[in-house]
Amino acid sequence: MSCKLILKFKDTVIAEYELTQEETTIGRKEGNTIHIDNLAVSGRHARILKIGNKVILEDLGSTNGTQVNGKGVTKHVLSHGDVVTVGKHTLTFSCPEAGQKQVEAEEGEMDKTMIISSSAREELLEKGGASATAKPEMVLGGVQYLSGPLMGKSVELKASLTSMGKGKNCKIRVPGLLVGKQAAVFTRRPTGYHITHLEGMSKTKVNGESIADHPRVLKDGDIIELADIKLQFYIKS
Amino acid sequence: MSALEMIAVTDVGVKRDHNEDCVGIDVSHGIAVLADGMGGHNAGEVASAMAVDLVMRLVKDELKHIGVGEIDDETGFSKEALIARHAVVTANNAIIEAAQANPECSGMGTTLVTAVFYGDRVAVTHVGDSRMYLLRNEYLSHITEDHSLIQEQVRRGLLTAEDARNSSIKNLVTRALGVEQDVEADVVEDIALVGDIYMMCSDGLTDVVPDEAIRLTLIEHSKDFKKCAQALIGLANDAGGPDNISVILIRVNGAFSRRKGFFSRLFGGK
Repeated sequence: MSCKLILKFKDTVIAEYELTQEETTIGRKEGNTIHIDNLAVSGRHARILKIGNKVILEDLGSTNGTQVNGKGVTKHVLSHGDVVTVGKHTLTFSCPEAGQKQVEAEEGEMDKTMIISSSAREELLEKGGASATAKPEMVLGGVQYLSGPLMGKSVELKASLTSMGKGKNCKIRVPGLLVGKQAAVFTRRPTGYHITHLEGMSKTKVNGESIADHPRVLKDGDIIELADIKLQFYIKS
Repeated sequence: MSALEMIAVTDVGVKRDHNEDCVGIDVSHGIAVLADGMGGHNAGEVASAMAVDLVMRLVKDELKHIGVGEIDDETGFSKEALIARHAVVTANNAIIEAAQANPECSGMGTTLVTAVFYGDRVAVTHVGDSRMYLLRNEYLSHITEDHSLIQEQVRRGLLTAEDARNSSIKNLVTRALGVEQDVEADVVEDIALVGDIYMMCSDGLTDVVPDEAIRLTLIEHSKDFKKCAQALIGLANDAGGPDNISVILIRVNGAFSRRKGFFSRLFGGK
């Protein structure tokens, strides 16, 4: 799909831009794909996203707003022939293939969930300054005993769920009258490790603070305490 | 009282003329599946229906061959979780094939969130921005994290959670079934305690209803699931109902043991 924008100022064509990237930005500041040096244009005024076979215009909270065919918009699916106004400049959208269907598209179209390809996703994320890794692997972590008879010993938390308590089935055994059979559980998630206190009078603490029964994200080096047992959480990879 | 109580409700919403969401529950096997279809010429509903149907069937069949809560040493996941993840891959391939065979289905895709309960645990698999929440002791937490552009930006520190709520591109999902050959489902496993309420939902609810309103509604109607689900859908519709809304509610009343299959009975599976 080859689409372009024709930049005009008072009917004079200033430039033409091919929409080759997933994201095209429009603004007064340098670094915008379409750079318009005019005070009526905000630094980062609007942007155009190519998603699947749609081309979407989005106002980025500009001072003077963005209009399409004379109507103010915050987000708009562009159709062939649309005239976008930013400040005193206009951009005519030319894209015969993005034509008819969008014209018929309902108002609610923008609320529909859309899928973006993995390449578009990487491009959009990299634009934001982050290094985009294709598929983040689940991290592996563990705990090391800082007290008790097992002091110094490490336990890898490889399973998606690892229980801690005085019950026989717990991988991390913690004795104590007030300790629950399954006092707490470590969950290994795509977003990292969480710990949740489940039962028992003895409360699970992270860095000296009781975590009540709310799941808590664990960070490398966090200290976990339950009754007389003290553990340090670490990220291995 | 059975160990699990489930209800699944889906509603077209206010603005749309047809429903592309699909839900499925199987209480006797402890399975719940929710999908939000999209794309194609209204083929989203084909994709979501295929996903729910296939995943429910595949998981149910495969559960017959395993004991409860066996852990796979290689991955650290339960066999239940791996079965669900595998079913997602199979459903993905089936949707891609169907789209290739039927031009009118081209471009269809769907999100998916699946829960398989076993013993005192639950394995959750998900792709896209359909979610699973847990209400425990009146505290609401997110079990899943969306595969959306916004969420990835938040995770990478490019956006704050506040920016994300106000963003206008909430509805760009970065993973879905039917898009690419190698779909990757995230797996989260958790303990299911007596009294827990798990909620699965499509973004038709969460885009317009804040977490706190969901939390209060779940607490207020926790005794009556039918009322609860209707109240949640009502909230989304009152907020404009811009999208289809689906909700599955699951209450844990005890440790769950699924109906045993022939093989596990034969070999004395747990």
